[in-house]
Formats: sequence, C-alpha cells, structure tokens
Amino acid sequence: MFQQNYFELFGLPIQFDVDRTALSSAFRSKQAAHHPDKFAHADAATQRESMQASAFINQAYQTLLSPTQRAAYLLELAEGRVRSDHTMRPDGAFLMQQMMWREQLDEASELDEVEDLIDTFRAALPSVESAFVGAYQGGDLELAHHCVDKMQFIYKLVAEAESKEARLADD
Amino acid sequence: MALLQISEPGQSPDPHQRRRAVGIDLGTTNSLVATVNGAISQTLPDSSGESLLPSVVHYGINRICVGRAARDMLAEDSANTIASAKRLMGRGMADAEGLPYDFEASPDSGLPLFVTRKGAVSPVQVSAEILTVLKQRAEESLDGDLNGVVITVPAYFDESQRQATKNAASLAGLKVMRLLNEPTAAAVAYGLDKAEEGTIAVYDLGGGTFDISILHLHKGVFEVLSTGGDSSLGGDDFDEAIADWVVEQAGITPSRDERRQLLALARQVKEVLTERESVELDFNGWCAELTRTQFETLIAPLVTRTMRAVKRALRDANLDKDAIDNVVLVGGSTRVPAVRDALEVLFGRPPLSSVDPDKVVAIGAAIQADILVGNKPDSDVLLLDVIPLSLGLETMGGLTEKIVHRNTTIPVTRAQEFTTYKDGQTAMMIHVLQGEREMVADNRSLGRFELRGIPPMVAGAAHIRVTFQVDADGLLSVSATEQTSGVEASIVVKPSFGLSDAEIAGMIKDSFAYAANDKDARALREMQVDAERMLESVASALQADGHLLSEVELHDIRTALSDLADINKQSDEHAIKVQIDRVSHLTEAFAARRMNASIKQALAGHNVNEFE
Repeated sequence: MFQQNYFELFGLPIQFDVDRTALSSAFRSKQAAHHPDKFAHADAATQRESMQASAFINQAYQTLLSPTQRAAYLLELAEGRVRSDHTMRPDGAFLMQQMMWREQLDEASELDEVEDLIDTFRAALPSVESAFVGAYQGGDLELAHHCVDKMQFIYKLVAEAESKEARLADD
Repeated sequence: MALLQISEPGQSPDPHQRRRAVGIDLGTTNSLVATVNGAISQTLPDSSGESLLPSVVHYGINRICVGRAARDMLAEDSANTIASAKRLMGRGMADAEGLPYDFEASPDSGLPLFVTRKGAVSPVQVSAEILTVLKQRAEESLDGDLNGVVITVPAYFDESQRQATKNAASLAGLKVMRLLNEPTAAAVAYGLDKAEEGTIAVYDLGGGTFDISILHLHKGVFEVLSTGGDSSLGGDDFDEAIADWVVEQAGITPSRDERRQLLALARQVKEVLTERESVELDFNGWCAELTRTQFETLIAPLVTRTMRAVKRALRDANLDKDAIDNVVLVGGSTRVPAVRDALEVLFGRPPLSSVDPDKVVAIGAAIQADILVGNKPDSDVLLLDVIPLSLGLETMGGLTEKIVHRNTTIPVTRAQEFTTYKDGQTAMMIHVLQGEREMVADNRSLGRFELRGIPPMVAGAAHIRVTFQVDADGLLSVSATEQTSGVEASIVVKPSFGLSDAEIAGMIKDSFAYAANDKDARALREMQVDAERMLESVASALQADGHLLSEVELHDIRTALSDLADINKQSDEHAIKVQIDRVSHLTEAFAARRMNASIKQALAGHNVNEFE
C-alpha cells in the first residue's frame, strides 16, 4: 500500500479533476479496513502497522481533497521529487492584482464588503485551475508550478478573508 | 431462587465467545459505567439502583469511600474529601491555585498532589479510586473480569490529560482499548440505528464547560469535522446569574456561606423553571418571584456565547447551518428550555433528547467498547476523530511553526524539514508546542528535546526531519532525524506542567482575537531574525576575509553592524529593515571581492583550459 501513490490508493485516475464522492467513499472503505479500531485486540506489531496505514490513508485523503495540495502532488509525481526551488516567473499583472486584493481586504471594515471580496477571490480560482490543467497536460511544469503558487495565494487570501469575516460576525 | 436458562438445541450461545466490555464516562461531577446487553446499551446501577456515581473520594480515618457517601462528607471533612479531581488531570501546580484543598508538588514530576490524612494523593490516584468502584460494579453485574474498556474524555483534552486518564485506568487495573471523545460517544449513542447518512451537531453543556462538535455519519463511519467550545462556560454560570440577580434585587452583600446557600437555591430555581413558568423564591426572608422569561433574559448572554461557538464550529467544518440534520444534547444543563429553543431557532428543528443527557456519553462509549472488544465483527461502525489543538515547533525568533493543524483526522503522521542557523552548528533544541497562536510564549509547551551529533556544516545545509505522530487515542510522539548523518532523537510527550481548561479555551479565542496583532508581531520577529542572520553572516565573513577590505571600509561596516544590533533590540520593524538595507549596500563590494577571491583560489594551480 505504501508504494502506491495517493490516486492509485483510492482507485482514481491521476489527474487534477477529482470525483469527490468517489474519493470520500474510497477513503471510508480504506479506513474501514485499516483503522486501529479494527485491531484493538491484535498484537502490538499489527497495531503499529494499522496505525501507519491509517495515517497514510488520512494523509492521502487530505492531499487529494485540497485542490492546491492535489496540484502540487501531481507535479511531485511528474517530477519524481518535491521542489521548492522553482524559479518564479514574473507576472506583473498578477502581482498588481495581489497587491490590489490585499489592500481591499485590509481596508474592508463591513461584513458585506468582506463577503463580496471572498466571492471575488473565489471567482478567480477556476481560471487559474484550468491554466494549471493546461500547463500540466502540456508538459510545461514550470508554468504549472507557477499556477500552483497562484492557487496557494488565492486560498490563503480566502482563508484570511474568512477569519476577518468571522471576527466581524462575532462583534 | 434463580431459574436455569435452557436454550434451544443448536442455538446455545457459547459463553466464552461474548467478551465483557464496558464504556466509562469519567466525569467532573458524576461518573457512569454502561454496557451493551443484547441489542441495547444501558448504564449499570449500584445496589440501590443509582447509575450516577458522584466523582468524589473521601479519605477517612479507617477507609476510603467513593460516591454519594463521600459527597456527604464534603461539608464536614472538606480537606480530606476530593471532588472535581478531573480538573487537575495532567495539570500543573499553577492550575491547583484557588481550589479549596492543600497541595504539594510531587517530588518527581512537580505535579500537584492533594494533601490528605492518608498522605499525598495525585489526581490520577483519585480518579483511579472512582474507576475501581465502577470496575467492581461492572464485574459484579457482568459476572466476571472485564476484557476491555473505553473511557471518554472531553474533545478538548490535550496529551497530558489523555495520558493521565490512561494512567488512572491502568492504576485501577483496567485495559483501555480506546480513549473516546465525549461528543463522539454521544453521537454514537444516537447514530447507530438512525439515518444512513447525515451531519450531526453535538451540543454539550456541562456544569463548568461547553463543547460543540460537528460530525458526519456515513454508513456507520463517524467522521469528526470540527470541534470547539468554551471551557469556562457552563450550567454553573446560569446559577451565578440567578444569584447575582437576587443580590441586586435584595440589595444585599452576601457572606461566603450565604453565597454558597444562594447558589444552591439558584440551582433549585433553575431546575424548577425547566418545568414551570415561574417560581417563588425565599432567601433568608427576602421573597420574590422569578419568571422563566426573566430567567431567560438573565442567561441570554451566556446562551448567545454558546451559539457563537456553534457557528464557529460550522465554519471550521465548512458547513452551512442547513447542512445539520440532527442536534444531539449532552449534559444536564441542556435541560434548560432556553438552550433548546435557541438551538431550534438556529437549526430550524428541535434537538434530539430521547437519550438521558446525563447518560448518553457512557451509553455511546459502551457501544464502541462492544465493537472494539470484538463482539460485533461484522459491524460497520468506525470512528474517525480529530485533534482539538494544533501541534507545532518553535522556530527562530520565538515563532510557532504549526505541523499538524487542529481538526486533522487521527491517526496522523506529519514530517517537516528544518535546517541549522549557524555555521558548524552540531546540536538543535526541538521544542514541541500546542496551540493556535503565532508566538511560542502564547502557546502551551509540551516538551523539549535535543538532537545532538549533527555533522558540522555551513548554516542551512543540514536537513533535519521532524516527525509528529498522533495515534488514535490522540497521544503524540515526536522524533527528529538529521537526513545526511541519520542521527536520531525522540520523545513521547508526558504530563508536564499544564494549562487550565479556561486557558485552553482562552488560547483558541485569543487566536481569533489576536490574529491581526500576531501578524504584526510575526512580521517584526521575522525582520529581527533576518537582522540576526545578517549580523551572523557578515561577522563570519569579516573574520574569514576581512583583509580584503580597506581600514575605512572595515570601520564603516563595523559601525553599521553595531547600529543594526542596537536597532534590532527595539520593536521598529521599519527601522530594522532600513538598517539591513544599509548593511547589505555597504557590503556589496565586499561580497564581490570575496567571490572573486574564492574563484581565484579555486582556479589556482589549474589551467583555465581544464575547465573547458
């Protein structure tokens, strides 16, 4: 099992688009077979093995659930290693966009504004994701990395906006 | 006379096949034990028919007693009668402050011990006494030794508290198959014979704590999506609200004893108002009427606080309130109609209340124990739980780097690589933390260990892989390996000093409140770390290649460095940045000369053509 990649583990095709229902149901059936609760009465070695298997399944599931992590994982598989050293492609337009969004989020003081911003940020995701798929399928892995960076930025910004939203909603 | 049971031929149940397993709810106020009997799970009563065992232990002159008899001694012999020991499980001396007992620090661990006439006893020992009584009750009722137990803990319990609970169980001679989170147990009690698929909110309002968990149930698999709460809010606060109202209305200043009487009265008033619309109360001759509507106004701010936590848990689970199919009630305080009404308003449906909220946790634990012990090999039930607080490491500058985020499904193994900070660094202190804040000082320290014997390398060249492993009981172990040399070190987190429940609740709340503040603090610390790194590297470069500079250049750089060191002690992120830029500008030429010198050195003795 540990030799399988995360897609193989859940019997899914190695691609960016994931069938959520199939993923969740494969996850549950894998856990049902390997979870430590199924081995509560077994010997210590079996219990340890089951814990490692269960942790591996959890890790695989979390990675494939998150679009950013899934994309980064696809690149890891394609390149045979994790890379943190890829060169950033200068993308002036996106840089400007980032700065503008950050400013807007910092300045937003009403719940409505923050909610609108979250919608705006989210709306930017599909085009970045399809750019990733294009680059990945076309074998331009540098460009694909760049798309992952963009996705990461947007998700982080959404998370920040959501915690701001939560603070405003609580007040 | 007992009747002998005769079963039909060929259907005789093998008595050795069914294993004896129980679920135990080790509560702050009351504890219970339950087991699955045939198809139903039920709590086991004592000889007088009482299921609830007060979690009180009395250390008498001749014997130790537990339960109601011990609780009756609370007023008479309070110093030797220990109640609410659960609050101190896995906690430090600081948490013992303010509790009405004498404490001393354990000579081995520094953990607090209750001083009684039977000597010093730890919270773990007190809990073991309670567990022993429940164990005996179960063994008598099931007619034999127990094969295994499941003990429930609050979802908020950290490693130290979970470990302490396990220790108490082994001291009582129990084999713990699993520690189970209380809300999960409650969901199990309701979930099994219900809908195939659904999302459940478990609202647990005890005497002193409030927990909320969101779970997803799909074909027997319970997946905890998020958990949260407020461990300084509970039904006791409702009593306080009533007492405060009386104090205000009657215009009195109660003594300590009067305050205690008043709280007892308030509790009765609260309970009566669950059934009736109004109640006449008489406090030492001062009479008044309190209506349910008035009471609900008094507690409205408290109920609102719980509803906020509910909404936050929904957000953490990425769910809208409409996604919740059922709300499960746990804890005696959920009998208050205002609580039920507020939940009904929020979710648009009445909460489930068919299982006694005092017993529901033990009943769920018994169902899980029955499965784990192997009595239901075909069962589809599987509980996938999460960790309640993030786990991380201290990195440069007192910052916390989260490695396992809260609400991650367990078991989990997560690794992260770190590197050395100084040239030739051979040891590294690994400081393990729990909590949501950015700064180390604001989180809880779980332990420290040292990785020694790293081969000397330039700063940043070593690859230190730190692995966090959290097992299905939520217990953590940490190990570290230097990748090139294979040097290893590890710890299992043991109970050390602790935070109180209130502090844990505070830590989570603070992480929201201070998120913005933390970001500034983090930015400042990162800038300071950059400055330290620059001071370090320029100093070592000067030492190695200072001769490449003129005296004037050397003087300028040294002055700039000492300015940077001074500025770095202040908290002005911008000023530090400006000075870093100055130093880097001043050393540009120096860096170029060093580069040339090292290339020359590398080429010395070689013919240029060799490299073509």
